[in-house]
Amino acid sequence: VLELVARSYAVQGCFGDKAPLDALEEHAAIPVRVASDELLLLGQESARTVPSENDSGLLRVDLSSAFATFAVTGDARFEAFSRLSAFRLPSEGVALGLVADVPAKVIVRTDEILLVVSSLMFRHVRERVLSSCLDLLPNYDEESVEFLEVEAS
Amino acid sequence: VVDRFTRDAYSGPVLNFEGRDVGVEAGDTVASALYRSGVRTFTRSFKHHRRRGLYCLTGDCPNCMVEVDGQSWVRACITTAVPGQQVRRQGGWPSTDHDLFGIFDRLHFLMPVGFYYKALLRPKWLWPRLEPFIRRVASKAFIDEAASPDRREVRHLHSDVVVIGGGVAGLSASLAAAERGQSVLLCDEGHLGDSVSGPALERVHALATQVAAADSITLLESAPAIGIYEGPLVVINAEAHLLLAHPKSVVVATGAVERHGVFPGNDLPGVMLGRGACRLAAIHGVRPGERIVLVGSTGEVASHAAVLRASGAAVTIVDGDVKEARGRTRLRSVVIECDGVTSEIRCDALVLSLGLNARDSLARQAPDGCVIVIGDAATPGLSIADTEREGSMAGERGRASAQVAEVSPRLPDSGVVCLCEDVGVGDLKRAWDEGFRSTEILKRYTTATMGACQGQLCQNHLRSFVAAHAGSTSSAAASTTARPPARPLTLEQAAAGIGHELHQETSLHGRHVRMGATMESVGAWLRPRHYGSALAEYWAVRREASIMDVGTLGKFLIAGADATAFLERLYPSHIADLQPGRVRYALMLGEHGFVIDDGIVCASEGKWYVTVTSAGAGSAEAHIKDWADTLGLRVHVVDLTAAYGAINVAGPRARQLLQRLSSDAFDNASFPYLSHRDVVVGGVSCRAIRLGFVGELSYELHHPSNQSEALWDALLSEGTDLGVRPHGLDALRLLRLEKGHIIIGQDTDFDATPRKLNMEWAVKLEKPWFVGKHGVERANKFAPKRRLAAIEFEREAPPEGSPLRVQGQNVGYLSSSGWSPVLRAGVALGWVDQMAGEFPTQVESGRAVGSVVCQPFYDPLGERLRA
Repeated sequence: VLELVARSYAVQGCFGDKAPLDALEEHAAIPVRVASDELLLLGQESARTVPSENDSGLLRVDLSSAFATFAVTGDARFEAFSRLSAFRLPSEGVALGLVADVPAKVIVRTDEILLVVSSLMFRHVRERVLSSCLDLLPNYDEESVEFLEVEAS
Repeated sequence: VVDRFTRDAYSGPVLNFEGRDVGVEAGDTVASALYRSGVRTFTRSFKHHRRRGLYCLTGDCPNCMVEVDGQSWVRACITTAVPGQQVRRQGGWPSTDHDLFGIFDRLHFLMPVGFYYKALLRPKWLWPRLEPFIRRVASKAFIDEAASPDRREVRHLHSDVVVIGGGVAGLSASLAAAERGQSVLLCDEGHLGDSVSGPALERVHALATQVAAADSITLLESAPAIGIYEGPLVVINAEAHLLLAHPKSVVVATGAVERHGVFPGNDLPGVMLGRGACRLAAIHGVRPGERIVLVGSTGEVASHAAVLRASGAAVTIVDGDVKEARGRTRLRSVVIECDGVTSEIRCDALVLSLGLNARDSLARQAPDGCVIVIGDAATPGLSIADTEREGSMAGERGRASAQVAEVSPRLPDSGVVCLCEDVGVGDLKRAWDEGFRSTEILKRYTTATMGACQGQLCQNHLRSFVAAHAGSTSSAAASTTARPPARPLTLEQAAAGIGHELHQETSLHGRHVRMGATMESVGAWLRPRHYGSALAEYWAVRREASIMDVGTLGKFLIAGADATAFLERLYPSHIADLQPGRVRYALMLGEHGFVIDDGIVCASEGKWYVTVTSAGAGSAEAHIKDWADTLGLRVHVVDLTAAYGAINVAGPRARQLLQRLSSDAFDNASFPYLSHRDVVVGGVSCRAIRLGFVGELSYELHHPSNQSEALWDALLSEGTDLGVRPHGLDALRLLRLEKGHIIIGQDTDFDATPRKLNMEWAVKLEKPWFVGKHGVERANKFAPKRRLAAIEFEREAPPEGSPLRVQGQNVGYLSSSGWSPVLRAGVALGWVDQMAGEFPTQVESGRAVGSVVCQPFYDPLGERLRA
């Protein structure tokens, strides 16, 4: 069984030197290290109130509207992922690569896979999961059921 | 041997073969079921319409291809028979058994090798008329275009090892890898044990039991590997998906195929390869013939004879050369030369055991050092014990590639070499005489090895032929290049995973759709062309107020200690002197001085906000980041394209509209042209940028994209009495054309310099350095021979792309054109060449005559922008 849920996360983009970003990463709930000088923090509401501020050498930008996040859960999540992406998932942690042909940040957690993609690609990713994994969504009824629920963070 | 030879009556399940019932026994393939029911001619050959019957029974040759349940080109010998199946043959007209086109077998002189190239070139009308006929004659196979395609998806798999082939070698290799702690993906094109018989079958069953018990081995049956690529990447055509396996190493254990015999009559129904004939008898309980001649000198002859005799057939073993197989519709006798004595033996089946060739098309596809080839695929004819030993040691001392295949014995004077393409020895001789003197070009000219079997049966004969003529050590006799697919696949299978259109949608996409917009793909974007009337939208901009979704613009925040210095180097314009709150238009140049993009630069305290074109956002980001790295400056480049939506509010009443929704000032004194302010409009925080791409008073409202719909709705509802309506790309293209504003990519060529675009004003060569400066200086040493010109036509301008002429000579083309409602003239931008050292002032395009004029066409002083 597969479930796909769109999650609304606050996303804070942090740009700066490696050391302060390392420190931030350690204490973050869901950190995504994109590069040595770029860190995304997911799920921190404070991001919404800290737009484009220079903070002790760090540039912090609210990127909440830049990304769409999907949680892929259920036993079939790994099979679903194998239909969407060529890269090998780590057992846990973060990976960057193409998912459903779009650049994505992938966060593998104990019971779910989080796909963080550009918000411009929200519908594309949703429809691609539908078309590629429909057989894994046994409860999906195109006529009457909206399988995709938006969950507030 | 399964005993089904003595049954008198059959009352079990049946499949339908061309209108009649054919019994299906457990374990039957379509081929075995049909053969048991008496079918001997399975198809007709591609070119000469010769009868073809079962031959290899291992899925290698093309002789048993039939249509099953509407699917053409199905190999009957490896397709499981299922009760209720609808099976029909594809070759011949009106039927495969009674084929009027069989006359072609007597007209070889009319269809020599390469006759397409020679006979159908002239007159030119001949080929288009003849082609449909030739296609119909070649086969009755068809694609049901009305059928809904069975969409297939790609699935990616990861393992340490992929083992291709589930025989003794492949199974042993899989178990050995699993013992070493590796994860294994084992694929076989059939079911384990399908392709072997006798002692090998027993061993396969034993090893398969161990494989089934091994957790780290994933077994894929009915899943032929069809290609090996760099990576390595192995493509497997599984039943449900096209699998793309990404292993660390690949073991190819595809076994061997029996050597194809070439002699006159070698393709008559009744001539079979030894292992195939034995499979028919031993596995399916079908006797290949009543009187069988078994020819060969290999170690398998004795076991073949035992199996065939156990089926009840009379078997004559001959250790000699087959000189000819005779018969009209099927084999009746065979002429054998043995110890210099020629004799004719009456028979209804000729079984050949002439040796083995490596089934190596996959191994030959593999990039160097990428795969380990074991078993018969490397060394045909290994004993079971040696095969198992080699499989167990694969990965420890496996070979990196297959051994050079042994070349087949010298070819006789006639016989069919390539069964798929109907190429005979005579065809090869003729091609050789015409100068095609290597395996590769013989392949291209004769199409030998290019058929469904991909040279599996005829590759070595082709090499043998060339070796006999050019010398066995000649490179001309090398194996031809092997390419995927190694096994046939349907178009649906080949198209697996494609067709997922990738579209970026702005945060206002839902609003556009709801308003009935006609959408257009522009690069990766889906954008509204119009909402019903592009002309009404145009007039709304020129006379009232209108809004447009411009969220597609590339948007970047540039910050960091060296941000100003960086932008000063990135752009050809002055940047450092731009005061906070001000905006400047800037070209973006490539290293060679050609224009690659354009946009605006907004100055703020400590940071910069820049935009680039909608189509260029991706490449511009790479360009900006590349130069930030190259210059080694302390700069952060943050892509805000998705984070920010943007709505352009344009028209004489734009200010009035915004003022209704905001307490911020939008008047000329507080918010002049080419400036930006942080404002709140309709409750949405925005960066408002005053620009004029459409030639009217306009403000771009850049805002968090998750608030786009609220802002859009507020602008529309508040502007009802002001005549506000949205405009799409059709209106935009015309509005900007009237202003002479270029669209990068449409009005620029790859070598467009600022001078050619009449935009030298945007390049400050007095700056010490900027990206592209040297290129611009180099280009400026020469007067441009071509430039972009504004052209006005009295009537409708010719369509974009139309050629421009002067005195009958081609001088360029129109890059943008349209009818200007406000000017009541045709307006266009076009590239024009110099003639006799001067740029023309008048051009023709078709019957239209245009004058080169000064830009812009509309509001040349820019008064409306600054209103």
